Amino acid sequence: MISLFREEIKRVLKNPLFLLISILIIAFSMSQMGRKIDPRDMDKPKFHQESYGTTYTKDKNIIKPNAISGLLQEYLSNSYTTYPYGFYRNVELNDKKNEEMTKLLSALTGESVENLKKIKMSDKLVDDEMLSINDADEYMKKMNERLSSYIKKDIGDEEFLKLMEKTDQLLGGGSSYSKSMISMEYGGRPKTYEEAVREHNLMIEKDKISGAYARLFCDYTGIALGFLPIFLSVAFWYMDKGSKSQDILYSKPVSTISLIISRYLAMLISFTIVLVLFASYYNFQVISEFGLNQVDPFYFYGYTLVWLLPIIMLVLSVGTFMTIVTDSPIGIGVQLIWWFLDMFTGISDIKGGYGHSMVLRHNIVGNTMIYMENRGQLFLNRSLYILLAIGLLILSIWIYNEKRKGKVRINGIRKNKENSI
Amino acid sequence: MVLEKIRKILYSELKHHSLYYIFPCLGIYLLIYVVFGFEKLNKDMVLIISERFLPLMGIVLISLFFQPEMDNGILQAVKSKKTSIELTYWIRLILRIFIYVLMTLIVFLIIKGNNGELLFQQYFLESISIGLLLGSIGFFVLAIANNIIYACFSSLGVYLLSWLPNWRTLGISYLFRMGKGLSPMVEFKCIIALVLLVIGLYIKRIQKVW
Repeated sequence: MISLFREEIKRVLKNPLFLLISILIIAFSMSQMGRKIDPRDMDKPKFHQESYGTTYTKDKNIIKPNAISGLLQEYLSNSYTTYPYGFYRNVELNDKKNEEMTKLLSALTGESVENLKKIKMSDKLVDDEMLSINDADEYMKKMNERLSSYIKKDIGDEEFLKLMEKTDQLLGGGSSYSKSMISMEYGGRPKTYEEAVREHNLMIEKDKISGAYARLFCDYTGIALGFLPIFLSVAFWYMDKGSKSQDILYSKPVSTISLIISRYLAMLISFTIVLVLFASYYNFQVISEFGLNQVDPFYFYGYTLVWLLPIIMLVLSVGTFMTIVTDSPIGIGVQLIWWFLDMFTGISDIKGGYGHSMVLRHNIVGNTMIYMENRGQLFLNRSLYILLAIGLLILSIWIYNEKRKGKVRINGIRKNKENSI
Repeated sequence: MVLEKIRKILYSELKHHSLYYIFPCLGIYLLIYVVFGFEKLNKDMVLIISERFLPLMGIVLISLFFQPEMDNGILQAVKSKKTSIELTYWIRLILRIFIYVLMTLIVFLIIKGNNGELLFQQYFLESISIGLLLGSIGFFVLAIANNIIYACFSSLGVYLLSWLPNWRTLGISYLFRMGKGLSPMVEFKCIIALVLLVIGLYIKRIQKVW
């Protein structure tokens, strides 16, 4: 197995596709992250600074009035913005669903169903007074005041979330009222000086500076890794067919496990080496900028292995599995669709949070508290993807083995009874 | 006589090859339906579908044009026929392009039939031109490199470049132009596509070894 692995490593490193993919991964990450890290990200916030950014709170006292006003506004125009699978979609409800929405709003606001219908019909919200306002901020303020006047009762947090979940389901999912989006959409408020200082201190003490930059590195590099390595994986298995060496491989006195695992590990280790070298590029910048005593020189590598390795593992497994099963390059298409949907559905967690996405996002230097609060979810997520990758690999080994025995035909599904004697 | 030959080539291409590529295209139909639905789509959504999703069918149908010969080793069989290989390829290519245009047209008709907001002719032509360009890039690379993965890599690579946030740096090679309020440059894309297809076929003709 060792000699086979050595052979495969040589093949991977000599393959122009591997070089091309590695260059593209690095070029993409650099184009987004910049050639150099920005040390100003670690500047301590100054007192009386114009803005300290926005923080997204889970405080229902902030979220509730904003979300209900937002829903009322969309209800009155019967035009709801949703992002199922991350793509914009405008939803217009039919009469039956409109009726259901009126009931939901009635429960949320305490306004009667009849009154809500009347308000909707009369279009009282935009009258001459509103039309005379030229300033956009003032217009929004006035509109919010009017919308808030329809909120007649203060419902409990649990009931609010339940009703919002129903609203999201009624809209077909992906709305700003969904559990994953509601805080991001309606829980925003300006960060205070104290919060900004606390956030800064966390980056210095807990992240040792390196962690904050490493997460951004993983965010950008993960995007490219979620798709590009599939080409190498598919190419390696598909080339066997193109070069007509499949039959020779089938008859070789080497076990299927050795054959597949050595090739898989060769690709995995080659990409990991590239990533570790690439991470070093930014790691050394951080070290030289802030000094070795302030940073942790191993964080970049730790993040790379925990955050990015499962992505490469999965993508390589998908390529291996799909190509062995179908004897076609369809794995590229499958991974493209998966990657697209994963990227766009995961957009709600772009600044941390770590849902179920394959490509985990943390598109900000900092947000350490969010990272620390969700670290458990992150490890669970990564573990599941590693298990999935291993599962696909085991399936690939089994199917390949069956093919070698002549029990399974091309496309992996139909049994060929004539050959299976 | 000639018509009979053409009929045979078309029948064989449809039965043995094209159908195999139509299934992934139906997968793209399904993806569009799941993500966007077809009812009352507004302008922005139609543009996303026409610029970013439908051209993928061009990659599937045109880029992988030579795959059957490469996979099944039937080149010698094709060459041994009385009909010249150039004619066979041209007829097959025209059929593939026709299928691509037809499948795009069907989506546009469905969107229009469901009260979608669209400038039919402009959106349709832009969509076709993007798919043709991407497909022809893959076709050209496949003709040169005789490697399907490189063909997919090149056409998908060009496609994905236009998704990058800093798309402005791409200049005229940016693909999703109408969505950004730019001139669609349909003729430009079609001419480039045609040139790549012709050169690709020429290269295939003079190649001795596959």
